[in-house]
Amino acid sequence: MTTIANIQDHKRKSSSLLSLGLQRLRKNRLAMVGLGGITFLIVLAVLASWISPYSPSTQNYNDILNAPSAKHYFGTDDLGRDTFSRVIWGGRESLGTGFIAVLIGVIGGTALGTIAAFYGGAVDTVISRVAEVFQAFPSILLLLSIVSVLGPGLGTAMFAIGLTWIPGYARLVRGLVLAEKNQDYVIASKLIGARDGRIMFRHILPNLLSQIVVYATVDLGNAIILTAGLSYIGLGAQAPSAEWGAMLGYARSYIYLAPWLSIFPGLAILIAVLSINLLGDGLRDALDPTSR
Amino acid sequence: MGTYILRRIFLIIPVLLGISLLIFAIAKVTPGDPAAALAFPNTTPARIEFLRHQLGLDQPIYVQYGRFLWNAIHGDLGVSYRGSIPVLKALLDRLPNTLELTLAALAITIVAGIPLGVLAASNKNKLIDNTIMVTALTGLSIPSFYLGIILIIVFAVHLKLVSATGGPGLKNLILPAVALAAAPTAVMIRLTRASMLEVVSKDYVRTARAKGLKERIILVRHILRNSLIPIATFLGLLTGNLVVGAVFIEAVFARPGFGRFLVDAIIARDYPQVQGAVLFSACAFVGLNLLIDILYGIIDPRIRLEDKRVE
Repeated sequence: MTTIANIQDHKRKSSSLLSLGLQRLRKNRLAMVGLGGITFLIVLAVLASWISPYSPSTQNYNDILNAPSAKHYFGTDDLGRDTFSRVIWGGRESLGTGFIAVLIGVIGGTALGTIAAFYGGAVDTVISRVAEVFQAFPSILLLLSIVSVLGPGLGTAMFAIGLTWIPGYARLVRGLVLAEKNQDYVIASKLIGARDGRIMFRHILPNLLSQIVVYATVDLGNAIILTAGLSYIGLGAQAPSAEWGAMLGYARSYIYLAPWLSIFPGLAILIAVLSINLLGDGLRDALDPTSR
Repeated sequence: MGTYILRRIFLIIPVLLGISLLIFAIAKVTPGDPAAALAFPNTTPARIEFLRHQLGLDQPIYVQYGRFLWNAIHGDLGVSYRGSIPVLKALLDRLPNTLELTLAALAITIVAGIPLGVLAASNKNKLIDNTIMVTALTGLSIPSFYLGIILIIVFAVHLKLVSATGGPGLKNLILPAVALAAAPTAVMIRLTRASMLEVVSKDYVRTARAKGLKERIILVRHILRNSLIPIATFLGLLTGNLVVGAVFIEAVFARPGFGRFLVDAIIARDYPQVQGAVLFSACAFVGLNLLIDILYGIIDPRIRLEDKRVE
């Protein structure tokens, strides 16, 4: 039947849009630099136990507050811990928390948005109103409120950050799905008798993927900064964590004595977020057909 | 015009109610018993019960919500767990410190961001455009507190130009304001550039050129004015986020501001203060956005007239 062929065509079209976009991305040098940067940091974090010269928690009272040297590339802190090792190990928490926070936001928001758009009516109204109330708060305020309920901690920070993004993604996805819902291929699928869930997953979502990916990449950079920020003020990762923001917070009393304790963890955050933003910009230019 | 304003105000009320409900719910969900927290340690359960009755905690939930709302409207945000200071007074005391920081950062964002964005858009794809954009991207990627730390290390420790910690006065405002303003300025540059580029391709600009108007006049009267709308939206959102987001800078520079107030209250589990601060800033934020919406109505007549738009 021609209708089935049309549906297949549409799906192939959406994946070729994605692959066309990816090809364009590869030609964008800055974006590739970004991709390289973040991949490098991820690899470092994953291979931490093999690469790091010392353990992040080993204290050595003979080598307190040493400036960077051949023995300790990034210097040591007041307990004799090697900063270089701590930065490498901290990547696991700083980067991992960011990723999971974004996942929570994207998955939660997409689910809610799709449900709202697809079923419409009362379901849509309830979800939209609730999202509106959540979005009436400045996001950091909402973040702090959630942390005040759940108590400080890295897990809380991760969950709270993700939670504050759910309304945003829900609204975005709802708009996109509403636009897609009336397309011919969706109506055709319904006519054949495809179940609602199947229509949502196999037909509508792949078309939205490129848009969501662009936003998610930008949000990933923000997630890492927010995680570090919360840890810095004591509401995220707790001591003796090597999370980069926590390291910055710990080093606060030593700005005059041992500036290297602050410089390197922050530099790690900067490189991570810059790489992600370069990649994100490249993705947006490559995947958005109108931005040329 | 009047109906537009009234309509906007009416739309706000359910949102404000929703916010108060959400904050009240958050407070109720938080673990810990307020009566036990306020009572002296080692009291008898009977005294705690008495305290609970005094605080109205034994009433049904909707009565408690009603009292909460009633008190809030009358400016009574409760009393702190630590030291029995009225919450509203405590946070109003800290607000000016944060406001001066926020205003300084806003000023920097506007004064530096918009011209640079215009510059970048006017020289699209040339070296100056690329330089500005890469700088903007870096400004976006650096955490504000890290920038603050770096600024302290360079200017206070090595160059000894300014002191590192906060105190009153303009001199102490520069470093924190710059650190706070970096990311918003970067966004402003990108936004201005994108907005201008979009406006420049519009028909009315073409018409103005075809009419033979001087380029400068076109730039100011047509291009800039129309680019201003997304910029104004951004500024509105930004202000709300800056007041609370300044908390990280306040931590770096040891400034006793509103953000620090909230964070300290959270760490100390001082729930009346947390609740009061959150309620206050949420309502202030909503009020600010209302003002901006009304301002839109004045600037752009189209918005006044087509208010039936779906948001």
